[in-house]
Amino acid sequence: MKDILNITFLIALLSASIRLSVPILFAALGGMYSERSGVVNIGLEGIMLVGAFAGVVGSYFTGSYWIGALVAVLSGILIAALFALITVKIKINQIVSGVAINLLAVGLTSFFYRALFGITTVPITVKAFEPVNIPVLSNIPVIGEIFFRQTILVYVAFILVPISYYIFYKTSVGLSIRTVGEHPMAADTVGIPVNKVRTICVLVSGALAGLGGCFLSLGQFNMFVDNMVSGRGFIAVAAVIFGKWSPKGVLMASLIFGVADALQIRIQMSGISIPYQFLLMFPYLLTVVAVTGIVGRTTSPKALGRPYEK
Amino acid sequence: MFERKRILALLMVSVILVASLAGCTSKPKEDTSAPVDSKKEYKIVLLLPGPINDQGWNATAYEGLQLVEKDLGIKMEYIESVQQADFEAVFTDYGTKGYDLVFAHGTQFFDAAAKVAPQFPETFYMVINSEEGQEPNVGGIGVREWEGGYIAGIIAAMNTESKQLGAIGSFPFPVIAGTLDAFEAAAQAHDPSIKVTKTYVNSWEDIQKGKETALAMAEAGADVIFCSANQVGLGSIEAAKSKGVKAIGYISPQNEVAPGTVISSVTYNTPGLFKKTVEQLINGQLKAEGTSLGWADDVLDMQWGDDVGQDVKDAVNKAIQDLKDGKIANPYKGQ
Repeated sequence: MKDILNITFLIALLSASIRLSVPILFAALGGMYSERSGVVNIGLEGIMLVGAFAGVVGSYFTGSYWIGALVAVLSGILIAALFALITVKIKINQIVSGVAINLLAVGLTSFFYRALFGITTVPITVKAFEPVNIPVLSNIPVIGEIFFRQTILVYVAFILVPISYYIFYKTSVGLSIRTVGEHPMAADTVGIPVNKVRTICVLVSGALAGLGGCFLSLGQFNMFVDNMVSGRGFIAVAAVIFGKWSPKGVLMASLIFGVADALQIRIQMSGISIPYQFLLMFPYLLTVVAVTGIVGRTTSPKALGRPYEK
Repeated sequence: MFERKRILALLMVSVILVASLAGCTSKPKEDTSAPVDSKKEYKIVLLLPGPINDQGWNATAYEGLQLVEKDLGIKMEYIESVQQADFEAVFTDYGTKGYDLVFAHGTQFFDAAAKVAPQFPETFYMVINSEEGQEPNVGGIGVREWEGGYIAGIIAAMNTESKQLGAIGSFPFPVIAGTLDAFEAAAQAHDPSIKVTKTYVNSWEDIQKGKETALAMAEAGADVIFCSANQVGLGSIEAAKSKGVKAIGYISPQNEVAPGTVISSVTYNTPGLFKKTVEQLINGQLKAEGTSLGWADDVLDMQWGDDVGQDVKDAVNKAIQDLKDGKIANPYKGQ
């Protein structure tokens, strides 16, 4: 306990926090695109799982983790296309469809893993991303160690935040997305193709969630194991809401969750006699408290969850 | 137009459902080859709480199924990822179909088995790792996992330089908590100054959490990591590798996962449990009581790594002998 709060401890804690928040950040950013356009995507969990699996498959057959990541993104888009078809075109309840996507993903990944690699007692390992030290920046004391010695996917995740901000608030595309989510009828009358915008946003969410899954299998590991996403997609859905559907908020929610989870592990280790169940609950509790406290009341996009009929 | 959409929608949903079901359940193996020297066609099914490629608990059960087929010539069916909510329904289903033996792979199945079993006296329900049975047709057979944790503790204690060890468990069930307690007890019996940090990750499959937990342990000074939590263990081995510390493989032979990092693996011969039970079925010796097996029954085994010193092997073999002779008591401290 005495060595808590010294500088090495803080560096280790924060760099673990970043690793733990990145998969959530990817998926939550994706979820934000989808929800801002009016489509609730609780299929993020399943899409992440498919991404994690596809990344490993891509890397296994080509020997390149870059192609692995590309395959992960494409598979994410493919599953999202199915989801868009069901929800945007056929207009089935989005929640039910999302659940179906999650179930589908568990079955698909498990089935194809066995079809390709058989039943193994030692997992198939592939080429994966290595941490990259960014020149100059990685040598800054403390900050360099925390932020600039991570894998490239971490940097991609964080760069996506300002990019998303720019798209949403500084471009006409972003305005269209927001209008479609708030008032699709109005968007339609000014000539914005509502369902096309929604479909594209869902595809973007698939691409990002796929990349989030790929971060787990290729950014943190070099293998796929069944159900390795373990609920991170659901946390991402929550992060979108707590983050008030804005890139900044989503970033905050993901980071708070990451810090709390990293801290939880270390408090458990320090042997303080708090029931461990409470510590495991801590990240979720803190995310709720912190973000509701910081952002106040959340208002969702008005047309969220409602299919658009002309 | 609307009708057509509805039909299309129904079609899509059913395709998805069928596809996902096809993914998580596996077809019973059909084979016509007659069982070797047994007059009766036995109908046996194995219910698993997770997927057979989990590189741990369920994978070893699948090996058991293969062993029974190979040695006894009896084909077993299996279902994967049976959810808690479905336990009773699945037990009832196989009871109705008149199966001779239903294996349920985990203590969590016991309550459901005890409830359903009285309706189907012709079917025997064997719950793996259950410490109790129920007359006349529910039995339990288990591995004394703490005996495995004990041996892992000795190996860890003889390989640590920092005198700090990390032990990760899935959930603090008595079986898992007992394994970690035994790990600690063995390490401290070897050297009382050794400190063991124990944590739980609340998952069998969250390998990122396993990795981060082991990383945190290594950063805090632990130099040998032990993990009893299926796939989560792979995460802890990965962490040990990246931090240049050691790990101990558990349940499955895991030395090849990271040679040089995994010192040795304490493995379960779970397949042996299945073979033994099926033999009892054939001989009509199934008992409705809980039994547990350990080193003395050859259900635990060692996979030695390449660089293990003779002193470690000697110490481990002596402890195994002591466990076989019942000289060491279960150090489980309770909740």
